[in-house]
Amino acid sequence: MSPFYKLLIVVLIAGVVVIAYDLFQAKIEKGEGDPRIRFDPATGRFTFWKPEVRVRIVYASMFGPGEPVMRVRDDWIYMFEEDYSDVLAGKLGREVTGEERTRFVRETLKQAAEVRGDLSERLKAIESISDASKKTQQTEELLVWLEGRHVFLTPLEPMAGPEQKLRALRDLITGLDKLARDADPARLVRVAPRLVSVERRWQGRWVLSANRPRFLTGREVPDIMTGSKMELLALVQDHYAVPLNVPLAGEELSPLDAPDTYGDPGRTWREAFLPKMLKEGKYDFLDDPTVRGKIYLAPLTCSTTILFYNEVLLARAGIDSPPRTWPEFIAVCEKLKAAGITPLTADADVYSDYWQSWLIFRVMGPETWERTISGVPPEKPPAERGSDPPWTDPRYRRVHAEIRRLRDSGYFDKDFPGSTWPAAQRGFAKGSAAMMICGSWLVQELSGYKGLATAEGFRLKCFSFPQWPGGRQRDQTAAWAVPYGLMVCRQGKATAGAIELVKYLSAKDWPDMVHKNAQISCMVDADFSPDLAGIKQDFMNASAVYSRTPDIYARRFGSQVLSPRYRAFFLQEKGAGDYVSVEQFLKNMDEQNRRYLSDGGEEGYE
Amino acid sequence: MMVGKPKRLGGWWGPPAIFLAPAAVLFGVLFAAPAVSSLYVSLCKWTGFTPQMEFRGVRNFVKLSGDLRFWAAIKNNLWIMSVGGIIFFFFALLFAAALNSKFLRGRKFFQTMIFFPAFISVVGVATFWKLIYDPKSGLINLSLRAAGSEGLQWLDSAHAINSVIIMMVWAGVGGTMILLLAGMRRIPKDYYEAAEIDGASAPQQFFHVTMPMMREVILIALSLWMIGSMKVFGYIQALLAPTINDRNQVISTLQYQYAFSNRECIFMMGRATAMAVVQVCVVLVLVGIIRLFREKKSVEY
Repeated sequence: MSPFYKLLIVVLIAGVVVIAYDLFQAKIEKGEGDPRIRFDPATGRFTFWKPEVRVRIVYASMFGPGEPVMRVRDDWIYMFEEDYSDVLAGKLGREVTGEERTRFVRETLKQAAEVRGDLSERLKAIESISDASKKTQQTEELLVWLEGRHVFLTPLEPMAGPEQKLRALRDLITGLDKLARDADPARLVRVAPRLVSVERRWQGRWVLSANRPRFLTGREVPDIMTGSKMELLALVQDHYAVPLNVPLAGEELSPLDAPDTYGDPGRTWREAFLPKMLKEGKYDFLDDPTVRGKIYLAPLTCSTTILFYNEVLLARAGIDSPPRTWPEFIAVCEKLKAAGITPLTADADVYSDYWQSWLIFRVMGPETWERTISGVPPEKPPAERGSDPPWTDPRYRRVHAEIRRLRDSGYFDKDFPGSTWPAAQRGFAKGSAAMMICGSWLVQELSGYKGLATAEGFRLKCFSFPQWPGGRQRDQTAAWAVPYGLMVCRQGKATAGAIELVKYLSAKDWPDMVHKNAQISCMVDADFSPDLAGIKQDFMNASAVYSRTPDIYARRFGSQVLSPRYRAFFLQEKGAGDYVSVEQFLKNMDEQNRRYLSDGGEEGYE
Repeated sequence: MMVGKPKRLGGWWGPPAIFLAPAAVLFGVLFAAPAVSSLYVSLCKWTGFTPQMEFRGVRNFVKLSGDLRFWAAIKNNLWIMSVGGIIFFFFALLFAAALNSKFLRGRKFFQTMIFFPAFISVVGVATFWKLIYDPKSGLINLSLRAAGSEGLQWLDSAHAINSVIIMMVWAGVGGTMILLLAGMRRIPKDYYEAAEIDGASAPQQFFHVTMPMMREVILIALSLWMIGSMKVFGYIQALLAPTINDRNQVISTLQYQYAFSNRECIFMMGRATAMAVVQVCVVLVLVGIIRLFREKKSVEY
């Protein structure tokens, strides 16, 4: 045989092995046929779950186990599967009793005995480790290993230390031994059918695109999808989403008006949300009467655009409190510059549009901007509308003159036109500049730099965007927040269960977890993240929450017309010899906006 | 010995058809049919989420012709193809000629070194170059500043495409060099000996012996470069994303943004597909032009 054929055979065999391994692995991971053992470390009690899955909920998430922003912890899902199974078992009258119970417990204990042997060996190995960080890591790995064998230690304090976890593991072994010795172990454990299973799919940023073929074919459609209000818009637009303030078929109350089962059953689920954030779950701006008034997104957390500053650098320039108004902000920039500190930094590719949006919000309010872009009167077709006020209005001139001033006064780091995300924020953490505008997620993204948080290095603080003296009161005390949350999909097979899961996640540990990860929760019971303390007052007392930027109500205009032109203006790009002045930019925007409306607005942009 | 005419099974088309059928079916179902149906998509308004498409005729193409971002993207593709191509082939030929030279020692070593970037994935290359291009802590600007120069904003909108070209040349020159080198090594030594006896210098030998003999290989490498540079996606997306400046878009990245991007969420499948159709046409025309330069008869040696 020639070497070529030998090679071919080797490759083929390797391929077969890989595929076989993959299938085998998938079978292990599914593991739906295996009984599940849960040990509650607090009470020392066991629950054995008999698999009888009747409801399978598919949960498609942007955020995976590696991404702490808005991610769902595995044990919440397990707890939900069990809690909701109990509810269903009650409804269906399904109980595991008599001979069935004894036999199931005996078989499950056999499975447990195998795990117990391995577990005690592994535990001994970990306990002999002296290095603390290694010990913590191995304890975590052991818990994951245990979950892979369908043995769970829950509820476990989310922030429990390794010692606590090791103690719980030792208790688990003792408990198992006790069960093994008992003449009638079935008497000591709770046995229940597990009727619910949640399949999680971590699909990253591209969760929508990843599921597009599923929506098209109507097969394997996820029951729940996560994302921001804007990202999930496509689902609402094409009528794939289930409204939460409308009763499901056969129900009397809508999910939002039903009791907050898993939180405080004395109130409705609606009351568990901050009203100003729940309101943002609507998509009224879509020109569609079937959508109007309906809440599609369950907003669980939100991100807000704020100014971050490095307290160390501000202190060095003799500034002890962040500015409240725009003139104060400019004064702070001047002071920093005089002290030889670069006041502002930015990446050329992202976030610079926040200056424009915020200044417009403060100077004239988001509604005015919408009247300019989408035109008035709204009842008429776009081609017959006009911008009021037009882009050439003096207020727009003022806003853009201020943006230009930031650049012309040399407040920005001079390298910024060549920096691409995340170079600027990396530099910011290393002290290259004193302030930067960003979304609240920056805290999370810079958490790796906490090691630098020494007295002389980097202390991350934040403040609300400065107020505009003389502007409308409501605009000065408003917060700008984009809600993130869960949406239930109409084509899913387990809509009722999916809504239960959303309710469960909104009530359980989520609010708690969110604030510990420097996110802002939309639930009334949640604490405010200490990392964002600088904006707590402003956010909680905000007269209104603005989430309406052009990329929500005029996405195609925003991405095709506004943002490229604004970016050229902001970066003062020299194209074919032209220098984009405020006048030129506004005149150009005015022309483009006219063309956009006469082309038929968003719809005309296909 | 008698050589009999081989007997055919079932006529002329029988056996080839049997052997071709599986491949033809796969090709038809997995490639040809979707390609043809994408022509239809390019004539529709469609977000990609619903099975219903609205037929709009050539409206997508009309809109596309007025889309300045698209023209900017095509311009960038052509810039990469032409300017990038000149640099690319200059280095590829230079390295190939150097490695083919009998005076060079450690040939294998240099060959491996030059080819090495081809082992790295596109995203790896881009991440690596992103660090090198960093305005503050990047290797290039640090060295430039150490030498007393101001440094350059390598990734700002005015320079980014040229920075991409540098990166693409670095990453891709090895592969083309190997191709050209193989072509050079196929040229019989006699020609060079004859040229040397006639008194031709080394450059003269290169231009009058090597280049004409390698016409076919160079044209193939050139077609590959043209197709590659018209379709380039990964390098730009990995180096300049998440938000690529409009002045630095190429057709593929813009198409991706229109059709799939979760950042803008505009989901304009129709227009993006129209773009793909135009892209394919451009590639076909370019390859057609290259074919015009091919000689009817291949060079024989």
